[in-house]
Amino acid sequence: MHYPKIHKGFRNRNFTSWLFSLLLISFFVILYWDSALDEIIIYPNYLKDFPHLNIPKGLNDVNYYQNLTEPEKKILEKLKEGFTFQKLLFYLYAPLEPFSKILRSRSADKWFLYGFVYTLLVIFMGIRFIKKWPKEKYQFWRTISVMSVQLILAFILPGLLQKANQKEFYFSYFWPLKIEYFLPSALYELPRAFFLWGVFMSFIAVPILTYFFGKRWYCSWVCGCGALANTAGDDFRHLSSKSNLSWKIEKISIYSVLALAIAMTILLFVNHFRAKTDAFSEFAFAVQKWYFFFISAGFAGVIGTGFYPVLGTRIWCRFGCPQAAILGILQVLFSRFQITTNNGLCIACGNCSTYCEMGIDVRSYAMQGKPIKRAACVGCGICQAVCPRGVLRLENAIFPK
Amino acid sequence: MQTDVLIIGNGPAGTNAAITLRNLDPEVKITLISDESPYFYSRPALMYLYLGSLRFSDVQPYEKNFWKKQKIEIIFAKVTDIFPREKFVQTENKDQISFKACLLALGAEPKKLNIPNEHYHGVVNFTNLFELKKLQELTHSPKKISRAFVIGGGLVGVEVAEILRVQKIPVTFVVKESYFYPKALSEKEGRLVEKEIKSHGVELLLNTEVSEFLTENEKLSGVKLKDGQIRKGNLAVVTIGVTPRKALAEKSGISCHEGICVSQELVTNYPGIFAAGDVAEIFFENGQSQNYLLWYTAEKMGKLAGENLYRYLNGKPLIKWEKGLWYNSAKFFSLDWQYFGLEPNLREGEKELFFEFCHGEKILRIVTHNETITALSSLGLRLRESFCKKILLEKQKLSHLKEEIQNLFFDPEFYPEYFREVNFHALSQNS
Repeated sequence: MHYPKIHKGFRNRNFTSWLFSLLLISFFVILYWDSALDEIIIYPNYLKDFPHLNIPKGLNDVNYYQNLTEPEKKILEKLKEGFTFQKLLFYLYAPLEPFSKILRSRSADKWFLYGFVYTLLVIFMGIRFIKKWPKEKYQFWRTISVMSVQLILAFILPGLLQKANQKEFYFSYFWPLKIEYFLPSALYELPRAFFLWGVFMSFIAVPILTYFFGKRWYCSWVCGCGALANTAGDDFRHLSSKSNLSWKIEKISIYSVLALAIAMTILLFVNHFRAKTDAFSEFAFAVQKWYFFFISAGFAGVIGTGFYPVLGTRIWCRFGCPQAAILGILQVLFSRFQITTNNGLCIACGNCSTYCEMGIDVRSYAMQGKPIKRAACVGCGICQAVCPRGVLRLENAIFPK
Repeated sequence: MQTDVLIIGNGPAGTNAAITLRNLDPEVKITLISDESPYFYSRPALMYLYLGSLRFSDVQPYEKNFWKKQKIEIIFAKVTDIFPREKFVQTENKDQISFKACLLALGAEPKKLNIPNEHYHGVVNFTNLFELKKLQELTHSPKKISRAFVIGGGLVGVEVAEILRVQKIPVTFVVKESYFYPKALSEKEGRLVEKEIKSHGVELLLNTEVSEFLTENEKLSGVKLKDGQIRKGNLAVVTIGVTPRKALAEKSGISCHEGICVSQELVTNYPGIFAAGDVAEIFFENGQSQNYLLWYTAEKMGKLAGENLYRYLNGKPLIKWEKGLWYNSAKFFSLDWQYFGLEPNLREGEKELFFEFCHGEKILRIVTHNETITALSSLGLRLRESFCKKILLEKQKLSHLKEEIQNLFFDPEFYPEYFREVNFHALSQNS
């Protein structure tokens, strides 16, 4: 049996946990906003006497560089010697050059670094996770599934597509999580087959698979966010808040993001068909820009992953992801999935609620003999694994068969 | 101070009574008093607190503001005297609480071996938060424990053996019986459990009892067994069972036998004073009495007590406790055990059928009486409670089970479908 110590130490929000979280957040902030950080923090030191110098252009545009004055060129040389955030990232992804060349036939960049580290974590921490639960067959197959999807659909295949000079495409992501796959831009940027795949997934696969299996087919068996959460993040799952207040906040927050995602999609399509350039189209593109900044980068990226050691692993999934919002509504309203409870055998120990990564008070359902049918439940199956009395069972069929 | 209903004890019986009563009557004043912990916590979870895999807040089923929202007053104090005729109690702080009705949900206390030196440093039990703390302090440096003796082969004993083994402490499990836990397991099941216990490095001694604790410098240094053998070790955990905690009621003039005597309506010899849970001994019309020392039964009894407290206060007729299904479950290291039935042991005319899966690693036992199923016991695999209850309450025959056997199994998905292996023609019987 597996008994992690969660009452103190790294798993209980000690100094090291906060430090680690700060490190993760810093990495993500730099990853997403390295050039912005350079422009705001680093470049001003060099631009004191040369306020008209366009540093990015000076570094990348040969014609512009050649037309600069000698002092301006000297400042650029000085910058190249000094620290910049972009340089920091370069030192991190440069060693991956051979991998990037083999897989994608192009040079490594910061996003390749991200994908590479992400996939490595899912694979190695996935193996570690399987070893933690040697007898749990559900955990074994679920982990194999997310490891395979991350490695093949979310790393190798997009790389090979780039190698073949095709569009880098992720078959395991679709609207509204990867919101750009169903926006007007997708109509002319993506090959027609890929666009149709995204539409099929979002509007046909989602309702059918969710009816039969609940939200878990995606959130616990396919999605990369879930893959990282349940492998690398497994040590932190008990940090999710179980309070009623958190549940109230969760409902407001996740449906707000869904509403925003739908509104933005409609806005951009309306703008596309209007085919005008005016205040309205400016507004539409501004909404898009801020959605990507705050939701895709800030919420999903920085907050969702950076806060693992102090807030738990499913912050994005529980409070933000619009895909989770849709899947959750379908799960509660018309899915066959539920967690059946053997009410009489429950000893109220609390293992189920404690280890639920979505902050569901599983115990209260077991104590009342009610099946768990919650929008938030991702069907990870850990409650079923940690219950010492065999009270819980994830299942699709309606009993009796 | 005054209250309408005073409930002494906030375990599963007392807590369920308080909540049930509040659901029936939103206005009645309810006071819940305990001397162990201000808020209800899951006693079966003590082993997880020891291991650190659950925090104390995790083992408390209700949020702190739940009690405030339910308007149930919580008092953390020890009741020292009950005055049943005058309808008030006194606490150790000399506070007096008067009531209209009272529920004694005092629970059970650990049984003593009654052998020499039982009170010495190094000898503990594992029944409450105070004993948990003692055990944590004694094993703070696990390497300093040369050997631990777990005395008493039952459900708590096997949990203690497990948690000490997690700390890599050498454990000798001293069991009086000839096979493990005959109170509820058949010999075939008991032997499988023994195998599981031993596979975790526990030295299991059957047919053995401890006759004396040996001490050195005021501390435990070893044990003397009934056959004269002397074994060295500096920790002993006594897990021989519990007995109703009736002392407080007995000295107050409330009728007691093995537990606090109550009618089927859970009333003591004083109207308005009820008892429920481990401490209660229910007397039936035929003169038989029963004391239930079980978490699940305490919950049920507490709910009935809550209902009857409401009825008593509102002049309605009280409801009787009916003997119903008896269920139990445990985990012997990594072996699940679940039981649904009427009584654990074989009675006259009952037959047992065994089905073994995975080379004897999993056992399903079906007990029948004249072809009607009277109990289901599973070791290493899980059963579906709703289906088991249906079969037992509807007194279904074995032949009916044949048709619906796939509904019995409750193991998680991707486990082998054992029911396909159940061959009713090739039965192994035990008479």
